[in-house]
Amino acid sequence: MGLKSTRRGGTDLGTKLSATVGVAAALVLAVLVNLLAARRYERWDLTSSGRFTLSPATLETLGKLGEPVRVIVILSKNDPLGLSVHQLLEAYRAESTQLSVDTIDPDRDRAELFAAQQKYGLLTGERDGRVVTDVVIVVVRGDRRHFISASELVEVEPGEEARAKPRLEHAITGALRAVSGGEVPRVCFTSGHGEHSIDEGGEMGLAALRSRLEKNNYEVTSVFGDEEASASLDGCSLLVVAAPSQAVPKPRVEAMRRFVAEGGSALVVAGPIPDEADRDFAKLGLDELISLAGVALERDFIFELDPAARSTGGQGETFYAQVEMHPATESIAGRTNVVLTAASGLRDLGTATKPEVLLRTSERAFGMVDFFAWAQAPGPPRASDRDHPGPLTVAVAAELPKPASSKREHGPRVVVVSALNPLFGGNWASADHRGTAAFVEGSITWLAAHRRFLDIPDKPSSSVGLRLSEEAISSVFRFSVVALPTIVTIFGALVYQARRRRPGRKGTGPGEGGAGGKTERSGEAERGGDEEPAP
Amino acid sequence: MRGFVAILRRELFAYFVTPLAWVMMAAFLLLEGFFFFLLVLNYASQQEVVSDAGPVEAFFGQTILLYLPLLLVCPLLTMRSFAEERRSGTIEALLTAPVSSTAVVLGKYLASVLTYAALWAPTGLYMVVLSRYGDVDWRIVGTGYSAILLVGAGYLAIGTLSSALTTSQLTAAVVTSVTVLLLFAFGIGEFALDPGPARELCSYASVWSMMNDFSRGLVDSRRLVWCATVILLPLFVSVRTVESWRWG
Repeated sequence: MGLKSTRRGGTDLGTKLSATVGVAAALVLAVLVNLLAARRYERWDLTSSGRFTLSPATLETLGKLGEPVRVIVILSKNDPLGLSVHQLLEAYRAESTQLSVDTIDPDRDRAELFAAQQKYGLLTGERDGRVVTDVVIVVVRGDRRHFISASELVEVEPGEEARAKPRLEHAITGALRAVSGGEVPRVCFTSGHGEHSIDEGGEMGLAALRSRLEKNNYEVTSVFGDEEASASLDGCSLLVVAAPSQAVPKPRVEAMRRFVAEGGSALVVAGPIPDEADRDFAKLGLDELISLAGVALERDFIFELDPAARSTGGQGETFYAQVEMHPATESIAGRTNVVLTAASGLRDLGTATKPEVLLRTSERAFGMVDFFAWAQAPGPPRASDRDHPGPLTVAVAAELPKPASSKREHGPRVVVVSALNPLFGGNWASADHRGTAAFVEGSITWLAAHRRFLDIPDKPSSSVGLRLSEEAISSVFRFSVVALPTIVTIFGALVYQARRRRPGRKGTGPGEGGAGGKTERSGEAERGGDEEPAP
Repeated sequence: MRGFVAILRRELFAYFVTPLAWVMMAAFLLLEGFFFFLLVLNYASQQEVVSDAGPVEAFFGQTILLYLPLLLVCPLLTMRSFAEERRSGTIEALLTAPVSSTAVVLGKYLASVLTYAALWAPTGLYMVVLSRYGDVDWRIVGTGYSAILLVGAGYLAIGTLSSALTTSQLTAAVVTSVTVLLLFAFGIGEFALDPGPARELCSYASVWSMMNDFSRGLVDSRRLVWCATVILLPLFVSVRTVESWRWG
């Protein structure tokens, strides 16, 4: 096309000019329409479950955002989960001008990722050659921040079939509420009695647990310290007695008891500790607190003799505890082992409070009472008549009646673990001890009882994987790679043969050139032209 | 629009009596079938669930394998539309017939779109296979195929225009391939550029993002407007080009 010089009797210049102007006008119009469409647009969620449709509760939360909130997504846009997050956040942004979304692609934006690491204490690692982080979304409002991990975005349903329920909206809306004034549970760790510090790193320090809790949106602090304070547990949601190695003064134990009696929850970790003379177990003075769970800490030292349940090193003081089913252990029961080192047994006091067993030893374990005599000439441990026979309880949970003054949704909860190592940082660093870390996290979640957002309805689950046998996979291959192309090839060959055998081939007139037309076209096309009327 | 239906029928007939369409369809299904098999294999061997999306979403989005056949098929389907007729001179006969330029362009174009749709039709059986081993959201299947049709329709419109601008089939195919590839690469800019207007522009025109949206059951009016532009603008210029051939 183009402008030709006008010949006498040919198309006039005006027609050509108007055609050219028409094309230019169409281009301009297209640009304008697209500009308008980019500014004012609609998105329709056509999924049958309404996966990307925001619930009224989320819309209300977004409507109440009074200050700017920044959402930092640390996922690649190509990540399957990242895609859903971005698509949902698009819907969030359409509802509130207070929300800004920044994306850090961990594989690409290394500088931004490093800055976020420094600012928010993110942990990074590599999986399948890609950078992964422990937190995938950070929601920030002023000084307040809320972390969301990948596991919070999808709820995998147990069972043979791989099914998952999207929980993106719960996680993101929950985070928006948390930074907009929601209560942050405060976890208080005891200190000043030989406990490892929450600031101490390394194998035995509690810094790893602290970091983990902060990522799970708990506020972590230590209480007591070297002060003589006996009632400084105000504001604590959960008390953690972090394996003291020295006696805890009575007023402090009383303060802890009062804290629980008034509705607070406690995780008590206390194991066998030698006294200063190294002749007997130290008296920690925690009996009154531990008795709230309906148990008492035995003065013994557990040896596990079952080869399948004990560590290959040592004499059986390090062992795999059997996990019993309970809300605190539901994430690990039947899936992983909890490794305990240096433990004592827990005795049921038979009080009104009925303790539920969380962890126990095998039947072949025993609790050695005269440990210090044995320790003077250690050899393969053997149970005597005085020792406590297995199976021995090493962790229990109990829920006490709810006090009238308590504003919580449940009564005080207590978990007692009679071993020294559960809170150690090494559990979060070693894959072998992952079960122990998960046990602690599950217990704390149960004790703090993070409230689920019931006003955001669950989205239905859907298949996110395929459980196929070898035979089924082979049949998929035969169908998709072999059968379908073969059928089409055979059908095409039949059509071709049928056309070749058809008599009465001849040229066609003008106007059929679109598909047949004159003889220059391929023979087959000409034959096609034989059958159809000219326009 | 006189003669539109006749031209459409004639073009469709020509597509399916030539071995080209059948060879193309067999090769296309072989490629798509292999891709589908890899997808099934991947989901079957997946040890842990890391996403809220299943194989249906993965078939329509988030994979380069979907676009490779598109980049090859669309130029092949449209390269003959006008180029061959102009080279052989049969276009003269068509232009002297009482048929409007719009009917000629639309007839040829729609025939290529229908052939393209026919190429994809058997892949619907993949969804039936998936529904045997898990649940399939048929509405997502619907949006996924709609996106494939829209993207293909845009590429075919570009192919139709390329064919109208040259007398060589090969040149038409190459021009279409390069244009489509450039358009695709332009969209990929959203992953390569720093945040700003350029990245926004790339994101707006990104076929990759469009397929990702539609593969999750999300329909965005911006994508629809962009697709309409990529379809209508080349067709309009094609009509004007055919019209110019009638000028004295």
